[in-house]
Amino acid sequence: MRRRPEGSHVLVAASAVGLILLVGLPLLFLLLQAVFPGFNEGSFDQPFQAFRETLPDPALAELTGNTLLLGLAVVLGTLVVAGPVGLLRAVYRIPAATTWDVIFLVPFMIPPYIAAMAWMMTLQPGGYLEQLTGVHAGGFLFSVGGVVFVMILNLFPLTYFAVSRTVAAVGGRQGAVARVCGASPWRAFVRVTLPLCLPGIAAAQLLVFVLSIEEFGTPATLASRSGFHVLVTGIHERFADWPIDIPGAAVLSTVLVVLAIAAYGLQHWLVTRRDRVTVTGKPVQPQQAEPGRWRPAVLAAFGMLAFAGVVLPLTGMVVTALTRTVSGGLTPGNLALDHFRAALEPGSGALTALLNSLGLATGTALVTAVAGMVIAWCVVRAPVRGRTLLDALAVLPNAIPGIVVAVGLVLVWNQPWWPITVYNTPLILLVAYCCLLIPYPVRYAAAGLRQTSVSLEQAARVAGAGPMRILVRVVLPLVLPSVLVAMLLVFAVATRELVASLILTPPGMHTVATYIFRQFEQGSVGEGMALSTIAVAVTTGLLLLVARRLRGGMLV
Amino acid sequence: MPSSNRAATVMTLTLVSVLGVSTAHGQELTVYSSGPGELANNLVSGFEEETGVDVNLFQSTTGDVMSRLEAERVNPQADVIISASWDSAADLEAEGRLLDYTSSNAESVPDFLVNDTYTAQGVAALSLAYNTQSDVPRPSEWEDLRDPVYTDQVSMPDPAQSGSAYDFVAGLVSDRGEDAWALLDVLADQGLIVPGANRAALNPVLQGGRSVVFGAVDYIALGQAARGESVEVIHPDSGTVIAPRPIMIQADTDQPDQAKSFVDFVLSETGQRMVADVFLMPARADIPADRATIDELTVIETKDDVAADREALLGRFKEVTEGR
Amino acid sequence: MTVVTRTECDVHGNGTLALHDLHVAFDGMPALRGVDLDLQSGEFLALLGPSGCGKTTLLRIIAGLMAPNRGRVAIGGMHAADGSVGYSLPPERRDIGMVYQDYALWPHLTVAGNVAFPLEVRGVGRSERRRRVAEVLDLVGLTALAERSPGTLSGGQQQRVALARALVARPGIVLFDEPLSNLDRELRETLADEIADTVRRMGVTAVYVTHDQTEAFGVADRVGVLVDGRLRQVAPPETIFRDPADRAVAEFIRAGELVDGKVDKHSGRLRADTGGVLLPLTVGRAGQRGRMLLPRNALSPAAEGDGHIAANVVRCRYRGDVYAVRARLGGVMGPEVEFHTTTAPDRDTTVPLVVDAGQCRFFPEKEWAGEGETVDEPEDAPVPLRRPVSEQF
Repeated sequence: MRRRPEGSHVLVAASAVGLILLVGLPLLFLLLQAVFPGFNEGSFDQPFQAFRETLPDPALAELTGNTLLLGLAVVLGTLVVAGPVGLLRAVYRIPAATTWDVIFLVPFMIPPYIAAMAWMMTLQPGGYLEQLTGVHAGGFLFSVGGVVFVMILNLFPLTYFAVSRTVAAVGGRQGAVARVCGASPWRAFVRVTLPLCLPGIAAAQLLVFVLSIEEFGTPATLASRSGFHVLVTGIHERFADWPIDIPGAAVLSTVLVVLAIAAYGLQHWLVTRRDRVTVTGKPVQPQQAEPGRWRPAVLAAFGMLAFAGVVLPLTGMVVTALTRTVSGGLTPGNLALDHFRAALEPGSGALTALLNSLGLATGTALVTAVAGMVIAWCVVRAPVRGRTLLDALAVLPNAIPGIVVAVGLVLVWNQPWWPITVYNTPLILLVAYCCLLIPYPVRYAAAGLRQTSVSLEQAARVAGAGPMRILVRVVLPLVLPSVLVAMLLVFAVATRELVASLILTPPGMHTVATYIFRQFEQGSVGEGMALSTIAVAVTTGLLLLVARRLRGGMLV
Repeated sequence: MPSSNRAATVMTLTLVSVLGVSTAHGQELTVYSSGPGELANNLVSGFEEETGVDVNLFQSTTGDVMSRLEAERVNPQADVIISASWDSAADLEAEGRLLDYTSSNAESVPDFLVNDTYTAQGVAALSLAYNTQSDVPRPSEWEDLRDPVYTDQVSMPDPAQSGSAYDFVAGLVSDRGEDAWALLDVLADQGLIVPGANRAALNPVLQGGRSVVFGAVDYIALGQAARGESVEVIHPDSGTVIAPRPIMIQADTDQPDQAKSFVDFVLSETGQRMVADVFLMPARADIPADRATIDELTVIETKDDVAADREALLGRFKEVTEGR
Repeated sequence: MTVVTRTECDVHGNGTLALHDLHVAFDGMPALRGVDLDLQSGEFLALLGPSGCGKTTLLRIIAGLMAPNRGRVAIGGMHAADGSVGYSLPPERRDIGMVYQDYALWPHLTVAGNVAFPLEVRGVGRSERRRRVAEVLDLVGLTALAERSPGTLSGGQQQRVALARALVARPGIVLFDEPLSNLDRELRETLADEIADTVRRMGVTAVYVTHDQTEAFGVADRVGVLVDGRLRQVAPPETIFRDPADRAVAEFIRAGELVDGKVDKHSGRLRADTGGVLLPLTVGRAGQRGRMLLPRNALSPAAEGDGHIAANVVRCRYRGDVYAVRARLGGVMGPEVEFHTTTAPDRDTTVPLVVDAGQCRFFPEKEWAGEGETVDEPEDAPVPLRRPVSEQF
C-alpha cells in the first residue's frame, strides 16, 4: 500500500505556489527592475543606479509628501463625512435603512475616473452647475481640496459600512453595558464603544488610505493643472510619457509599496498594541432607538450624503451621456439618446467590451473565491509553519497599487523562457485582477472560518473524509455566505478596473474601462459616459439580484 | 476526487470560452497603434480584407504604446508600430530597434517625412481651437491671445504629457526665441490653464468655461466639429508646427514581409484615404483631404538643438506657467 | 476582606424598587401586560419564568435600556420612568449594576480596568478607586488575576469579574440576567451561592432573572413567577411551591401532576376527565369544571382500606433515595401521576394510594377565563386531555 501524501500539505503547497506566482513574482520582478535599470532588457548592469538617480531628486520628496497628504486627508475626510452617518445608522432605527445601504453602495459601482470626469463636467467653469445657476466651483474642484473632496465621496461607503456594522455589532451592546455601569452616553462611546470598534474601523480606513494613494484618475484629471502631483501620477508620467523611464517608475512604485505597507503596519500596531483583542461577532439583537424629534435632522444627514455622493456624480454622468454635444450645453434640443445608440450599435465594440468585462469579473470572482477559500483554510486551520507568511502574501496586494501589479506582471510573464505564457492573452487580465483582488475572499473566508468550530471538520475527518472532501462538503457550505459577499465585491471592482487593464489588455481586446478611457481620450466623452451608465446599471442590477438571494441582503 | 475535477474542467472551459483564449501567434501580425482608434480599426480591417492576414491590434495612447514597448523589451511583441510622436521613432531608430524599410507607396510623401526606418502616415498640425459660441473675438494669430480680453479664456495642452504639445512649444521657441517665452508669460499672467494632454485641454473649451485652446492638435478639434461641437480650428498664417505620425517596423519581427505589406497598405491610396477620413493630413501629397493640407500651411521648422534638450524646455515651461 | 455595612450603603440611597402597571409591546405584540412589584431595600428577588415570558424585557426596563409604553418605575424612591408621559431616566443615572449571561466584559480593559469602570465614570479618585477595586476583587477571590485580560479567564472567573464590576460602586440595585446559564452545572450551584452571599453581605437589592427554578429557590428571599407578560405570583419559594397562585404558576413550577375534571354533584369530589376516577377535594362547587394540582408529596402508598385509590403502575425509577413511581389513578385509563415510595412495586401491578387533599390545589375554570382580557390558551373549554407535565422530563 502506498502512503498518500498528507492532504493538508498538498493544499498548503498549492496555496503557496499559487500566491507566489500571483503575488510574489510580480513584486520580485518589480524590485529587480528597480535595482537593475536594464532588467527589462535582460541586463543586470549598474545595480541601484535608478535609486541613486531618483531618491535624491527633490521631486520625490514632494511626490511622497503629496501622496501622504492626499491619503491622510481622504482618511480623515471619510471619517468626518461618513462616520457620523454610519453611527446614526447603527444607533437609530432609520426609516428605509436597507434602501439607504443600497444607495450608499452605488459609489462602489462608479469608477473613480468616471466620477472625477462627471464632477468636472458639473462643476468646472461652463459646467452644468454654471449653466443652471450661473456659478461654478472650478477654483475648488481643480485643487488639492477638490481631489480630496471627490475621493472622499468615492470612498466614503467603506467607512460608512465599517462604522455602522461594527458599532451595531459590537458597540451598541457594549455601550449599553457601560451606560448601566453609570457612564454617560458620551463617556460610554469614548471609553467602550470606540475602543472596541477601533479594529474594524481602522481596517476600513487603512483600505481607504491605500485606495487613495493608489488612485490615478482623480488626481490626474483634477489636480495636475494646479501642479499637485502624487506618486501614482509620477509613476504614470515616467511610465507613459516619452521618454519612458521604467527603472524610475519602478523606484517610485517601490516607494509607494513601502508607504502602503507602513500604513498597514501602523494600523496593525494601533489595533494590537494592547492585548490581542478579539471581539466575537456574536449576532445580537440590534438595540436601535427611535430618532424621535431628531428624525428630520438624521434623514437630512443621510439625504445630503446620498445627494453629494451618489445623485450628483450619477447625474453628471447621465447628463453627459444624454447631451449630443458638449458645447451645446443643457438645452432641450441638445438632449438625445445618440450616444446610447452609438454605444449599443453592433459594431461599436462597446457591447463586446462590456461582455469582456462581465466575463472577466465573473472569472475573477470564481477563481479568487476558490483560491481564497483554500488559502483561508490553510491560514486558519492547516497545522503547518509558515502560514503567517501565506497570510501576509495573501493580504499584500491590498497594499500594492494596480499599476505596480501591471508592470510587475509584464516583467514576469513576457520573459522568453516561459514555455507557455498568459501574456498577450485575456488571461493576463484575469491574473492581474486575481492578484489585485485575492485579499478580499481570503479575508472574508478566514473571518467566516474563524467563526465555525473546528470540530465540524474533525467530525468529517473521523467519518472518513479526506481534506479535499472536507473542504468541498464541510468548509465550503460553512463559509459560503461570507465568500459570496467577497465575490460580489470582487465582481464590482473587477468590472471597472482601469489602471492595470490599460497596460495589460492584449491587442484586439477592450474592457469597459479601457473602452471608456479611449472614448475620453480619442472619441466622445458622451459615448464614454453612455457606456459607463450602462455598465453601472448592469453591475448594480446584477449585484442587487445576487444580493437579494443572500440572506440579510447585507453586502458589506 | 471526480466531482471537483469535473468542476475544474467545467470552469476552465467556461473561462476559455468566455475569454476566447488564443495562444497561437504564428501567422498573426501584431500592430501597436496610438490611434486614433477609428483609423486604427479601419486600417486593420481594410488590411485583413485585402491580404487575409489576421492582425492583433493594440490601440491606446502614445504613452501606453511606448511603455508597453519598453516593458516588453526583453521579448518584443509588436511587429508594426504607429506612433503619434516623431521623436519616439527617432529614438527607437537610434537604439537600432527598427527595421530598414521604405515603402514603394511613399514616393509622393514629402522627403522630410520619410526616413530609412520610419515614414509618416499622417500629419497633424497645431492650431488654435476656438469655441464659436464664446463671447470673445475669434483670434487668428498666436499673438492675438496677448489681448487682455482673453484673460481666463485660454487653455493649453501640457508639453510634458503630450508629444505634439511638446513639438509645439519647441517649434515656437525655435521660431521666435525669447518672444515665444514672453508670449507664454503673458498668457500665464492672464490665467492660462494647462489641464493635461490634448483632450483635457479641449474639454473646458467645449463646455464654454474657456474659449481658446492654444496649441490644439487640429484633427481632434476637427473631429469634434464634425460631431457637431461648436469649435473652429484656426491655423495662424504666421506659421504653425506640424506633428507627423510615423509608422515603423520593429527590427526583430518574425513576419517582416507581412509587416512590410501592412506599411504598404497604410501608405496606399486606400489607407491614406482612411487617414484623411479622421481629419489628419495624409502623408502622401497626392491624396486629397477635406481640410487644410501641408502645402496650404506655413510650417515652422523646429531646431534640433531646441527640441533635443527636453529637460531644459519642460523645466522652463513649468517655471513660466506654474506657481502663480 | 472587608464587610460592607448597611449604613455605608444607605449613604448612597436606598435600594427600593417599585414597578407599577408596566406595559410594553413589540410591534403590537404585548411583552409585558401590567406588572406590579415592590421590593424592599436589600431584598433578593428571583424572577422565574419560561423563555419568552418577558423576564429580560422587564430587566431592561428596570435598567433603563428600554422605556415602558405604560406604567411607572421608581428606583430608590426616585422617579425613573413613566410610560404615560414618555419619561425614562437614562441608565447611568439610576445607580444600578448589572450582570449578564455572556459576562459582557470589555476585552480592551484588564480585569481591574473592567471593575474600576463604574467608579471611574462616577468620578472616584484614583487612589480611592484602586482601594475599592482591590476590596471587591478580594471579595470575589480574584485579586491574583487583576491585571489579566478577561478573555484569558474561565467562564466562572469571568462571571466573578462581572459581579465585581456590578457591585463595586455599591449601587442600590443589582440586576442579574441569567448569569449562570453559560456555566456547567457544578459551577452553577457554587457560584449561585457565592453571588447570593456576596450580594447579601453588601446589602444590595437584587433582581435575579433565571429560568432554573432550583437556582431561583436557592438564592432568593422571594420568587416572582412571570408567565406571558404577567407577574403571577411574588412569594417566598416555599409558598410558590406549596401554594401556587394560579394554574400557570403551578404548571411552570411543576410541583406535581395536573388533572382536569369536574366537581361531582354527589360526592363533592373531582371526577377526572380521563378514566372517570374521583379525587378528593377541599374546595369547589358542584358541577364546576377545573384543573387540580396533585403534588408528588400528596400521594403516598396506603394499606388496603377505605379512602384509597387504586393505581396501575406504569414505570418505576430508582432515584437514589426513593423510587419515583408513575402510575395511572383508578385503572389503566386514568390520569397518570407520580409519587415517591421506598419499596419498588412491579410494573402493571395495582397499588393502593392515599391522596392528602390538604396539599392539593383546585383551579376552577371560570377563574382562568377571568385572568385577563385575552384568553390566550386554546384549551380553556372544553378541557382536552393534557399530557402530564412530568412526562416532559
